[in-house]
Amino acid sequence: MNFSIMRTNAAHGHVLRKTLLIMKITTYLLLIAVMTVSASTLAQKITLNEQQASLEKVLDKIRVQSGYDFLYNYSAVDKSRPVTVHIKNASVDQALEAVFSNQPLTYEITNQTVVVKGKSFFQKLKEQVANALATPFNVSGIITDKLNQPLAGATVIIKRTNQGTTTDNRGFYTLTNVDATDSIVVRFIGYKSLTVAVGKLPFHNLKLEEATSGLDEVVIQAYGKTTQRLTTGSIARITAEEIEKQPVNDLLLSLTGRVPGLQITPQTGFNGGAIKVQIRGRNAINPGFSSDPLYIVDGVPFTVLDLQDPVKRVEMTTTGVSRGLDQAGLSYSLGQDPLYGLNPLDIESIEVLKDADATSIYGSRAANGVILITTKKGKPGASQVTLSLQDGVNFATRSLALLNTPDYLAMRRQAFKNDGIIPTALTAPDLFLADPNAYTNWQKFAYGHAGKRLDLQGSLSGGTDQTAFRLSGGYNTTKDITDASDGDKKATLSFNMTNNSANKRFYTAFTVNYNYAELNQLSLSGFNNLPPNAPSAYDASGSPNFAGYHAVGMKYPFAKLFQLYNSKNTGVNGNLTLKYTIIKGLNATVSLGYNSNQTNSTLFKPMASQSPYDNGTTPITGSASFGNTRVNNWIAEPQVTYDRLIGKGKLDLLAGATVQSNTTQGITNNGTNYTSDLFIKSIQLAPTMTVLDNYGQYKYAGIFGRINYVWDNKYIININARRDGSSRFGPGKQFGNFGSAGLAWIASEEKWLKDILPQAIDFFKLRGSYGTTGSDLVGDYKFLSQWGNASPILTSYNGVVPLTPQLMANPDYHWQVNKKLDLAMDMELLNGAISFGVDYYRDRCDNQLVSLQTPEFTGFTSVVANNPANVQNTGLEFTLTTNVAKGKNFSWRNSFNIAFNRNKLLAYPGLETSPYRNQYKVGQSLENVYVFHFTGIDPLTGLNTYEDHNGDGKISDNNTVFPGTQDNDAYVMINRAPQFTGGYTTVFNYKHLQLTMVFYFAKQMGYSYLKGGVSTLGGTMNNIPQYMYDHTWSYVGQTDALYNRLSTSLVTSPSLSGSDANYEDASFIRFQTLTLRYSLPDKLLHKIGLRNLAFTVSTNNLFVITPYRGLDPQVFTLDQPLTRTVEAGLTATF
Amino acid sequence: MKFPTSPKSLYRTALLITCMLLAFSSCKKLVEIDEPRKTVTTTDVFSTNQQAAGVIAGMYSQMMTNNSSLVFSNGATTMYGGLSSDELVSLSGIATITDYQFESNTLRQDNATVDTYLWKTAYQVINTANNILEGVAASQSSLLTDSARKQLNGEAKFVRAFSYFYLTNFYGNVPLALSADFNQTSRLSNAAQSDIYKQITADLTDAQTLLPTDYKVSGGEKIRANKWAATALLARAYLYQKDWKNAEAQATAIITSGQFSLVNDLTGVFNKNSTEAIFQLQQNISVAPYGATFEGRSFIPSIILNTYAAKDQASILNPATFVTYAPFIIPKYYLSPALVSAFEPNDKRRATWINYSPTANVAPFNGQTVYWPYKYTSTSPSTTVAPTQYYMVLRLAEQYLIRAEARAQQNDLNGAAADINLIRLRAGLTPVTTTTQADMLNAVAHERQVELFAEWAHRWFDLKRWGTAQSVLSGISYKQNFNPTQLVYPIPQNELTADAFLKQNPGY
Repeated sequence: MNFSIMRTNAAHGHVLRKTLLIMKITTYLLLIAVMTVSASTLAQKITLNEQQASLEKVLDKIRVQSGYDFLYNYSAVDKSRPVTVHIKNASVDQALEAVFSNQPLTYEITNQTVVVKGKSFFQKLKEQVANALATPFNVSGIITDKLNQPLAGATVIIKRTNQGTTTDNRGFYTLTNVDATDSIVVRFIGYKSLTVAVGKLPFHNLKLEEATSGLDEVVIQAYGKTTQRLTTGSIARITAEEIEKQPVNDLLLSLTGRVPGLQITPQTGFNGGAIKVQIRGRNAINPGFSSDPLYIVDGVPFTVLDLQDPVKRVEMTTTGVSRGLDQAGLSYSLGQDPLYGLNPLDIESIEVLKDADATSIYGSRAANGVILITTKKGKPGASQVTLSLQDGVNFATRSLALLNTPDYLAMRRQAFKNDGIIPTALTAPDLFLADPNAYTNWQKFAYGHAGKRLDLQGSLSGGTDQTAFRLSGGYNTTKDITDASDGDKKATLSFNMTNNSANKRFYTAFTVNYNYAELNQLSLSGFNNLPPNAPSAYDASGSPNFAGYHAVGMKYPFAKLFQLYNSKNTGVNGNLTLKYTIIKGLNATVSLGYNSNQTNSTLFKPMASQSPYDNGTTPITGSASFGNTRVNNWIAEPQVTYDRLIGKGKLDLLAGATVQSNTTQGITNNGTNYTSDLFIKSIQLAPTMTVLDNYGQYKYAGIFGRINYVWDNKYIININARRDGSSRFGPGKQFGNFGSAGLAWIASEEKWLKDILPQAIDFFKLRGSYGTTGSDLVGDYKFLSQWGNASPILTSYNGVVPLTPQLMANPDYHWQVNKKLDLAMDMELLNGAISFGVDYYRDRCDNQLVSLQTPEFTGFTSVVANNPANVQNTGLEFTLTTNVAKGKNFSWRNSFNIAFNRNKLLAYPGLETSPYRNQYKVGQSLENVYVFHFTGIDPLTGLNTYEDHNGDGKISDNNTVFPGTQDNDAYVMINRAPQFTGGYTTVFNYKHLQLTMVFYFAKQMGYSYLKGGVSTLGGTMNNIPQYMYDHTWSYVGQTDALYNRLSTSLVTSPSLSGSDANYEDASFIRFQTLTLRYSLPDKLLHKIGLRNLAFTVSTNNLFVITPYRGLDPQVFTLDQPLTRTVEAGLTATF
Repeated sequence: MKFPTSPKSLYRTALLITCMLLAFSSCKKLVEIDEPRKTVTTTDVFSTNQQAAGVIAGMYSQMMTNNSSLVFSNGATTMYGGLSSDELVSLSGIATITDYQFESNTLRQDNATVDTYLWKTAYQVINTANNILEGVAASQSSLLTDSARKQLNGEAKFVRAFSYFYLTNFYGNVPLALSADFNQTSRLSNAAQSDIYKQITADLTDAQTLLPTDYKVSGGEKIRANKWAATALLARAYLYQKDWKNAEAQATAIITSGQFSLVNDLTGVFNKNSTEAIFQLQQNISVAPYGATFEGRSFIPSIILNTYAAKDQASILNPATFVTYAPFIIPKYYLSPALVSAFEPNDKRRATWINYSPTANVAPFNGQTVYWPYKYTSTSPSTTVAPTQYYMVLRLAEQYLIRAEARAQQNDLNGAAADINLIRLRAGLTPVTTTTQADMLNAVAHERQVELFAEWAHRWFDLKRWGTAQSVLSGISYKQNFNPTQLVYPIPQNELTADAFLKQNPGY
């Protein structure tokens, strides 16, 4: 670090002199720049009463009183005059000023050392400095943020030459060859860039303000930070502010409608249940595979091995969803979302990484995209306490209009009459034995209650410029709309601390969060359509009404009301980052992470839940299942980064390595044949016990690198490379290489273009990337031939424990490679009032790693292998953000996004001999199903009719040939994937009032509950919707019927479910969130001593606009519907 | 690009990079995981004799208890082959459509039983056998001794041949999977039955040389295949291929081995390790069907009414309530009238190996006595006491009948008569008096029907190989209209979907 002007003076050849000279000049410059700073250090009080004293003597007195050292040349002091001075309690400065006022000498103060020298020389020096300033000189200073924290790595350049430097870890910079007429430009990620004129000042300490424009706000990327301005990849960001407005327990749900191309679909209405997350369409040929992206929380991957097959809900999705933390497989909610334990209010931001440029550095695990979750960190400043309370209720959003008792009974009688059958008490107990005047709305019984949600949060944060911390806790109880279980609880505790060493070279960050979540679930599935005159579920004493049901000849349908599923999950996530600055621009970082989740679950089926009348002669016994899921992840990632300015650009280099290990264990203990409910909570007391024990271990290692070069803030190139190894592959196949290249051109920085472009355009950027990511999501040990006793579980033979082959091993499968292309344009107009972005992408997934169906005669029905099929997803994503008004009192911000995805099977060599030959067609979407064309109800018979596509006189569904070919008449193609999805968010601010609304919409076809879902009309003791009843065929010659005649047996084959009548428009606009917030004005806050106090009213899923006639266009069943939440809340900050 | 110039920082950087490279130079180690916990790798399994013993236990357990579900080798062959032929009738009638399709010879290619109980399980067992053969061949371990290797290979080959025998007799031209590697097997097309027999013969011939002549490996119990099991099956395979000479030779080898003899008391034939038994499968008493057999459970009603006092019987036989009790009084599968009437008077087998249920005078039984097989006498035994009967796979009586047929075909009528008469004598019947070859063949056919009824689909296979199936079955009222393509079961639908090279049998 050299910040002196290197000029030797021929007159002072002596070494001491020379040193003195340097010191003098430096001191002079410092004096000018930091006068106020040095003044504050001269606080000592000097009292002098001297008459004609020698200078030497006086200076000695000052030395004694102030503690300052004096340095002078005796020959110079010899020329001094006697001193007369009378001062009292003066500063050193004032004292010296007075002493030297008449001397031919002058002085300087450097580090409590006063240097005395001849004045004539000093004058000369001044002139020299003036000359020096006229020619190029050095400028130095410190760049800080508004809290005076130094910003390391900020770019400081001379605007004229585009040459410059970056700040070191103390924020210090030095520019050489600066002219007084120059301006310097300072840029740092996440801050507004700053331009200042140098003038004659060689020392500029500058403070940067945080960016408010979307373009320059920090965006977290893989192993680093960037901004929307500088990124070459496709990264969407959701901030804490957006997350905290949504009254949801599950973090993932707060992403709904916020990110183009991201589909969030809860699989059930249960709290904490499985959620399907899909980014940019379906890649997997095999419908059993899940589409889950890679979740990374503070750098720690949240990996859960799927020990049990992902769950697939036929009517909903075409791919499976991981069971998450329920690897014991007991829950009613089809699994447990692994992110459920995270507290949404602890989250600083969520970044969704979509294209190869953003994801390929994660190599093999990024095929389905990456979701980065960053938790809140402490910030320097006075300690701040925030408390919040949210309390609300939730309800079912919709119910179906089902028949009342008279209509229901009439419907049943008609069904018998149509078939010419005389019903008896045995065949139709609902007509003969049940009370014909009773009526229960079973939908209301099951889901008609008000759920409750209470959420308490507290946080404390603060720190100094060296150490900052944040401590937070949350507690949350939720009771669902069934009102049957005790409800769910969640408690979270989170702590983080960051520390910078005094010299700012060593940085430590530590984060740990702990969470406990308890879920209680009862499945009320199937209660909706009970006969409206069925007896009540409970008898007069509140016990299960077994006798009542037995009396009317019906089986007791409510057993599940008493069969509780309970899970208790404990999760710990910890992360430690150590960073050391070796030299300016060169940093070494080690990031260590650990997370652990343990879920204990129980599912009891007590004897008391089973009707003694319904089991025939077999005695009733109880059963219980005890599940345990344990997930442990650790990761270590050493990294080196280096950045410097080269030419007109800034170069950032990253090299690193990663080692990850995961173990997942799922144990299910099943106890059966309990003869007393008193024993049921103990597995030890189970007369019969079976154990299912699943264990998976996964190790993963990789090295990666990134080169990023931003030239002149105009041209950006970003290259990622990664080499990965995974334990999921056999010897010789473990390693794979991945990489990407991204380019961006900020055209609006181009002078010639700026002249052409309309004035309104402030920012215009084109970017594109191409690269590869991979996948190894096939489970563990699949390459290894193994013997065991798990599938199936065999008994010993002749006393020897049996071993049989457990899977079809395939040592040859290798990394799946996804090739991703992304082309995009980003634009900002009218000073950021409007920003617009469009992304085109094309993802191709070739040589897919799948569980390939094999014929049974090979010994197994599937094998893990690379499938030659090539699946393409192409799409367009648009985002539009407007800041319509941005005044002091009123502001209005809108953001809109929409995404179109087209899925296509590009090629599949050997499709005609593959197991999928009757499901997929080259050139068509994987999401297509092929069904018959429903041609209405035959007016004469009242039966369903279908189009005989090939005209062979019969309706055939020969499933050995492709639908619609040969004798297969199922030719209608239904695409189950949405045509487009999107979201709209609008935020009004008026003075202290803020209104936020979020809408989520999709255009899609859905499984029609009113058609295929109800297979027989009148044949079973099930209620049907009024709409169906009103539109069933009821007389010969009726032409306007929509449903076949009422009948006690399935009257037509094939059933409606295999036809296009089974699907209907399930497009929707969901009013996802409405939040109204009022913050107290500052004046008032001041009076009551608070920093902030805000009241909120928020709703989730207020209503859905849809032509869909089932309960919910996203969850296509009648079970546990999604709910509407209304909450009020209070947040106070001290 | 300029790098840090200070020597000290250069040194630090170099050190750091070196450390990182060192840490990651052994990348392979970083992605090596422990061996799976719940499973043992093939290399480990075939590293010692003791470990390898488990795979044989696995193979037989798969054949016998198989997680308490029905498979081709623990009863399904008898039941479904019996329904398809003129032996068995199902109580549930059309209500159990998958059974009814067998009974009425109207199988569809989507019949789940055809797939799950017969086809799939046979191929699973074959896969285990293939894995054993390949595992032994690949094993370098000296702790897997030569004698153990011979034993493993011999039993695997026997079991593979055994499974293919039933597959080809049910399904005709089936794919011949001889490797555990799916790359070699997943695209197979149908193999000609002659090729399958060729493989069966080869495997059994090998097994004969590999396996011992005694039962020492299973502690004297006849529950693991030895040389004589291979020989017995080989005799049958030759018989089915009409290779009379070899069939006779193989059967003779067993008969003259001195190790086996017919059990005079018919109630003891199916006892465990009876002198007549050549190969039996052992039940595991801890899981269903416990000490019984699946056959015992399907053929014996839960209440044997004829053992009750007349007064109690009468109360059950009340026509008004009989329908309710029928499922407890009448077994799931019972004998067809055709079979029952095939017995000669005084045949002890009818008295011993058949039991009966009286019925009430109500449709569909109309007071007719229902007869059911009683070769296995246990239906719900103790889970603690070892069973007295094992599941009989191969027995000496069949060898006499094989030799009788082979001799009759070779016009050795005296020889044939001698063999048949041994069987007849035991059943309390008089010797045959036929003098023509045709009559002798008829006598053999009759004897096979009544001796081997409700065992391993003998009748179904016999009718087919004799070419008499159509004439016999088309006369049965519940098999109208009899369709001759039904003599070969359909290849399961799923298989045709999974393998495009596989062809369905004609007529489906």
